[in-house]
Order: sequence, then C-alpha cells, then structure tokens
Amino acid sequence: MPPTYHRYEDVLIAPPNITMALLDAFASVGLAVTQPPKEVYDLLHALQCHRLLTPELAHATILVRLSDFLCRLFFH
Amino acid sequence: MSPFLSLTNLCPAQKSDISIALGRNKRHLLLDYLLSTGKVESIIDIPLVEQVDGSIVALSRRTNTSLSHVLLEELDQAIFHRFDPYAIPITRTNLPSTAIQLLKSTSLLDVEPLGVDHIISYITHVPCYFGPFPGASSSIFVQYVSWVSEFFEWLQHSPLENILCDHLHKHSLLPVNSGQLKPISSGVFSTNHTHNRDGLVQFLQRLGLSFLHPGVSALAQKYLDPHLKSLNNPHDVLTVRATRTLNS
Repeated sequence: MPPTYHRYEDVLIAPPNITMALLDAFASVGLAVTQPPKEVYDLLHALQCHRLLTPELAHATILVRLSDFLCRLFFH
Repeated sequence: MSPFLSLTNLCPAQKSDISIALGRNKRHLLLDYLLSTGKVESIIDIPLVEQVDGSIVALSRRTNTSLSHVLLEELDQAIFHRFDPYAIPITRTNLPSTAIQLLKSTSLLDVEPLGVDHIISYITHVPCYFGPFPGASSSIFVQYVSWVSEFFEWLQHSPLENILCDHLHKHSLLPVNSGQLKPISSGVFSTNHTHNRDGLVQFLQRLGLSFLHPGVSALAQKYLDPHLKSLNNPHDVLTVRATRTLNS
C-alpha cells in the first residue's frame, strides 16, 4: 500500500518486530500504522506514548473504524 | 472496495472481491496478532473468522440467549458441514494455531465444541436434508448411503460414541433395501451371512423384514453388525416378523 500522512495522534506506532505483512494487513482494514526506527520507538516507549500498537489498542481502533464505516454506509 | 465492506461481508455478490481485499493470509495475520496476548476479547465483534459456508463472521461475547457457532474439527467437518453453514471449521487451513487453541478453550465467546446435542440436532434434520427418497437406486439415496457410511465410520472413533449410541437407536438413520430409512431399534437385519441366500432375503423382504442397504461401507457395516438382527439367528427372524404382524 502507498504511504499516507496523518497527525501523530491518529496513527498507531508499531514496534520494530512487527512484520511488513502484518503492517499491510492493518492497512487493509483501514488502520494507519507507522513503524519508526528502533531508537525512536524505544524513546516513545520510554515516554509511555499512548499510541504504541498493542493487540488491545488494535482491537479498539478497528472497532472504531468499523463503526465509522457502518455509519457512513447506513446513514449517508 | 472499502476494506470494511470486505470485512463485514455485507454484499454477497462481491464475495469474490473479499478474498482479494482481505484474503485468508491477512485474516490469519490479524487473528494471530490480536490473540497474541492470549485474550480472546481482542477479536470480539471483528469479522475475521470463516464459517463453513465461506462467509466471514465476527465472534461476540457469549450470552444466555445467543446461539453459539459450533466448532468442527477436521473429521467432524467432513460429516456435519452440510447441516450447519454457521459452524466454524477449526482446521489449520481455516484458522491459525493460536486461534484454534484459544477458541477451543474459551467460555467467553459465542463458540462451543461439537457436542451430543448438536449431533442429535443434525441427525434429526438428516431426512429433511437428503429426502424424500424416490427409491433405493435414486442418486440422492446413494448419496445418503455414502454419508451414513462415513457417519458410522466417524462414530466408532468419536469420544462421544458411547453417549450417542443410545440416542441413535430411535432415529431413522439406517438405509434399507427398499429405499427407506429405519431406526436401529426397528430390527433391521444385517446383510452379512446372506451370501447365496438372495431368494431367502427377497422372501423375507416381501414379508416386511428390512435389510441394511448393501451400499453401506464394510467398515460401517462392521460397526453396525452388533446392533443389527441376523439371519443366522432364527429367534431374530421370528421376533421381528411377529412384531411386524402385530403392528400391521
């Protein structure tokens, strides 16, 4: 998928061990995920950034995207 | 197409596009990741699981009133898939191994392993699914004979065999020579030991005795034999004939 640009608070920040295939799968369901270099990720982790990708956050974000999509589909 | 259209499977006509937009590999990757902490809550309400009919479903939190999806192991799937399009095959091709383990053990989601009640329900609907049978040589009857052979072959290896066996006696499952289905309890005769006794078999059939259809596989016949009547036992012939006469 081609890269897109978002505000910092709108993206999920993936750790370096997340594979490109999984990032692509996230993109396929409409999630904006960025994967910074390890040093940047470690820094954000140390700062307890609340956008670090976890299964729980991915689940919640997919649900929001799904809900937005269904609203657009049925009410517009 | 929007990725969510593919996820929700809202447009059956676009089913072929779904696999392009979010194929099995991507679904497996997402399931694997979401379940990587061992919490099944992480997949609730996200359509990622493929049902027997090929459509994608979102698993929900189990409630007292909701119907659960039946989990079918590989061997179960071959026998029961046709009766339950909403069942979920728990095979390595359909689900990643993380998901298989968690779905089999969870009590939180609306999934449950195949149990006796499910099987009885499937069996009850078997005549509706296959029948009515126009005759013993009809293709639908031949298909049924093949299915019931597989069913009894499956049953002898099933951990539920002992419990199921009692229930099955009263269900019309056995295909007989006349092209009908009879319950085991009705006194169906084995076709073993009938070699060179065709004349006798035909005579007894005219008297109303039922013989297991010869198309039933050898393995299934072997399993069924202890439950069937035998021509070698004159007492069986007289008892079944007397019951038929009393009932007619």
